Amino acid sequence: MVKILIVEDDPLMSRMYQRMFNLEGYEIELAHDGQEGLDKARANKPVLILLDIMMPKMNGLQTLDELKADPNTKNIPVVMLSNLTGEEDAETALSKGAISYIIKSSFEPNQVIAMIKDILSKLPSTEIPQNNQPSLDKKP
Amino acid sequence: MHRTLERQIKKYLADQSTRPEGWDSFLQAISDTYIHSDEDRALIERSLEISSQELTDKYQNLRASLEGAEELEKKLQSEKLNVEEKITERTMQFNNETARLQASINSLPIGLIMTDMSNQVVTMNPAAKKILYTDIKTPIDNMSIAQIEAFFSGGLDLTSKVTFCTERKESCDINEQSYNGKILHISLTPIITTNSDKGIENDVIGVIIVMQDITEQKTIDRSKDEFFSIASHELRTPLTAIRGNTSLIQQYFMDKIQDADLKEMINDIHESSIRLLSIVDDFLNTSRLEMGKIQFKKESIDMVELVKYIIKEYMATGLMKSITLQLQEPLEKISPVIADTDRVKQVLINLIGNALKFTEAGGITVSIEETQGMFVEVRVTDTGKGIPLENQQLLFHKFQQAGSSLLTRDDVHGTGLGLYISKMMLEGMQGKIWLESSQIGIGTTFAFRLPIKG
Repeated sequence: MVKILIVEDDPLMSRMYQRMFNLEGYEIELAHDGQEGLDKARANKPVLILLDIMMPKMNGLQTLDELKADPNTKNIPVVMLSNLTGEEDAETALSKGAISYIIKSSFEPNQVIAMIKDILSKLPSTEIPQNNQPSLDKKP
Repeated sequence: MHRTLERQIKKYLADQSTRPEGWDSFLQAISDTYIHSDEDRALIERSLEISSQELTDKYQNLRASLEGAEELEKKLQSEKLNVEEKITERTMQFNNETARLQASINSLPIGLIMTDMSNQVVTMNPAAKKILYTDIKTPIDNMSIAQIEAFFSGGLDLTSKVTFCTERKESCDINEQSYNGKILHISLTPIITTNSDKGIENDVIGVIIVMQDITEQKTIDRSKDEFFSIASHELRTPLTAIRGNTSLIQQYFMDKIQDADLKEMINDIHESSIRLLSIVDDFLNTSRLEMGKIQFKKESIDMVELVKYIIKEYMATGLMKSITLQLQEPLEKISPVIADTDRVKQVLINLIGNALKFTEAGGITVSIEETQGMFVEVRVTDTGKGIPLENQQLLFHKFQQAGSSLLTRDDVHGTGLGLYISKMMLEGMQGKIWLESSQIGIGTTFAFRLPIKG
């Protein structure tokens, strides 16, 4: 099962992403702050990490630094989640080793899924879940 | 015979009987002498009379002149008094003016320092003292620009700046100067006289230095920044949840919903969330643009490729049913421009989106051309209803409710900020946007340009 770790402090958002990915057959792990994200990344080695930038205590950029500094986690691809005004931070994240960033409010869930699928397909030995749901690929 | 001689002969020669020889000629000669003498005397008397008359006349003239001179003297005195009075009055006026000027300078809430050409301080008002040092009662005798510069401990090269702006006869600004925990705005203006009749034209006689403590303003600006940053996040998060969740329902659960009304309601909620997000984006972009907070990347962009990409995206939405959208292939190769790709996309989407909104039938054409090797111009032409003349002036302004009431807005789906944002963004990339032409019932062309690379 493809496991994706979502580090997001806002339950509205984390629930939405969880639902989004579950409906597509991905297994999701949630973390509600940077520290929890680090712990779970180290423990469960997800295939991809979605990391929110604006979080209390340890923000996304700091978490990213830690992930990339730890040999156990530095190779896990990280996609940053940001809002429009966090664009500069997102660019900084790219320079710190994040693969890409998504401006949360600009995309429909199916676009986010498509982006993630695209990233995953470029990684070695990743299984893309086969889905039986006929309602997929239909335009909303 | 002369009478006198006759008398004398009578008197002295009465009893003389014999006359010597030549006596008559002799007597005649004497008589002639007397006559000549008389004539001479008459002449002399006459001359004397004339001279006397002349002298009298001259004397009269002199008297008159003297009287005239006395008159003049009197006039001179009274004029002198006049002038002295005027001088006193002018001096008083001058003193009043100086007092007014000094009081004005002293009452200013911003610091004002005046210097002369030898860089000595002539005036420093209390506000300036307050900014520079704590005790405003300290006298400013012999303070120089160098001493003021010393206050800044090397953080400000005031002397060079003063030299620079006096040589150029222009004002200079120092926008943010930190000093003692404060942030100052300093401006320098040369004092220029226009004494053209003396042959000294546009001479600089000193410098005015204005200092303002803008610490509070900067703090407010920073708070505004932070507010917008937090507001952005806070507004967007729930809106994203609405959009995302309704989208998921549309994508995965629609077949579970029997009720057509319910399906429509979900679609409406989804559409509303998208509209709200776009409005929030508009407001936030506007405020960020106005505060100069948006950084424009400098990327090399092939406009032809970009327009093709945008058109493809539009076609893929399935919205372009009855209206055509196409690029008019440029006749020659178009050079790349330097701009921020995402922002240019936004401008294109804004213009094409507007064209779509106001066009019922026909199509939208995008054309690209290069001008004078300096700019690439892009034109978006539609066959829509056109823009009335009275609305054209306000197109690129913030909210263009031009005279017509709010209730009859054409643009019911937007904030009225699209063109304003496009304009600000293009200007931030050294470009320009304008309405090329518009005719009611026929169509509209908007155009923008961006600088060519290199």
